[in-house]
Amino acid sequence: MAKDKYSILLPTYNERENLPLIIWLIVKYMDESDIDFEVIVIDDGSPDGTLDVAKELQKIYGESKVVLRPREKKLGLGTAYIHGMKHAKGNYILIMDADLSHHPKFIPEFIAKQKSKNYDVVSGTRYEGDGGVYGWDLKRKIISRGANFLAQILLRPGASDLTGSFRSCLRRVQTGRQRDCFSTPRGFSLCSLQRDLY
Amino acid sequence: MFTKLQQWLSAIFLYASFWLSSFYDKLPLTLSDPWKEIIFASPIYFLITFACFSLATIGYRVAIFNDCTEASEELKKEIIEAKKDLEKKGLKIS
Ligand SMILES: Nc1nc2c(ncn2[C@@H]2O[C@H](COP(=O)(O)OP(=O)(O)OP(=O)(O)O)[C@@H](O)[C@H]2O)c(=O)[nH]1
Ligand SMILES: [Mg+2]
Repeated sequence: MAKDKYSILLPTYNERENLPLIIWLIVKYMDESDIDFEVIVIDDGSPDGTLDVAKELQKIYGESKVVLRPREKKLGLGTAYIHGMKHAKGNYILIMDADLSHHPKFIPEFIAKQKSKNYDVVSGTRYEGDGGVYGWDLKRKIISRGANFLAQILLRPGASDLTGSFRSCLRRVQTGRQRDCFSTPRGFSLCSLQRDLY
Repeated sequence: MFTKLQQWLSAIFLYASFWLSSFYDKLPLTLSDPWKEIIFASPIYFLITFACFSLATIGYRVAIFNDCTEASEELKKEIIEAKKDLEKKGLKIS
């Protein structure tokens, strides 16, 4: 059986400071665990020159590790994922934020979890276990918990974190069904969950 | 397969029709007055229970929300390390 390959999608908008750091961290933890991967940077024409930094990083890490799939202008996070996915060469897709909200050290854990029961989707959460947030004041925590509480009751999705960390998720590449899941920009996570879990 | 919206609408419809028919004495049961009163006031009971439950749950969850201070410290150290290493590898950020 061929070795699994993981395509990590990194949508960026004005992340020139963070992009080198997140890619450095990804490389560090993936190499440590000997995982085959590629990072796909989807930059939406950031005015701060994120793309130039990405090109520099490509020189350092090689074109097979850092793949650039820029778009002309800001078209939103949801379509950025679809765009990146079209170019993914891996048999697994991993999506995460480029702003260091999601730490790459958890990627090997995601992969182990996925393999343990051959899951279709694995997602991170801020609300349970070791998950959490940093630098949030009380108001933001209340809003987050309140919104999550409502969503849980109204939708009963069977996943604890829909809005945020579902963006840090690992899924097997499937044909057909997958593409049309990712149709709405922000509602994307809800929509893909619905299709996968029910 | 029913959508969540359909499920909610049918539940609300069921409950509303039950409540209205008891209100207009159209239920095929003879209910004593205290029962009728309970049914009549039940929407308010539900609302109050739900409000209390929500407040308690959200309050509790806000209180146990994890502050990742350690993780943040660790990340800060890694960022310093990363910057050094990237510079060595020749990353030029003007
Ligand atoms: N390609 C692309 N990336 C985007 C766009 N909007 C946001 N991003 C990236 O998506 C990730 C998450 O965006 P954030 O703005 O941090 O969203 P958030 O985490 O919900 O909000 P914050 O609380 O501000 O962190 C980051 O890596 C952004 O750079 C967009 O329109 N296009
Ligand atoms: Mg963020």
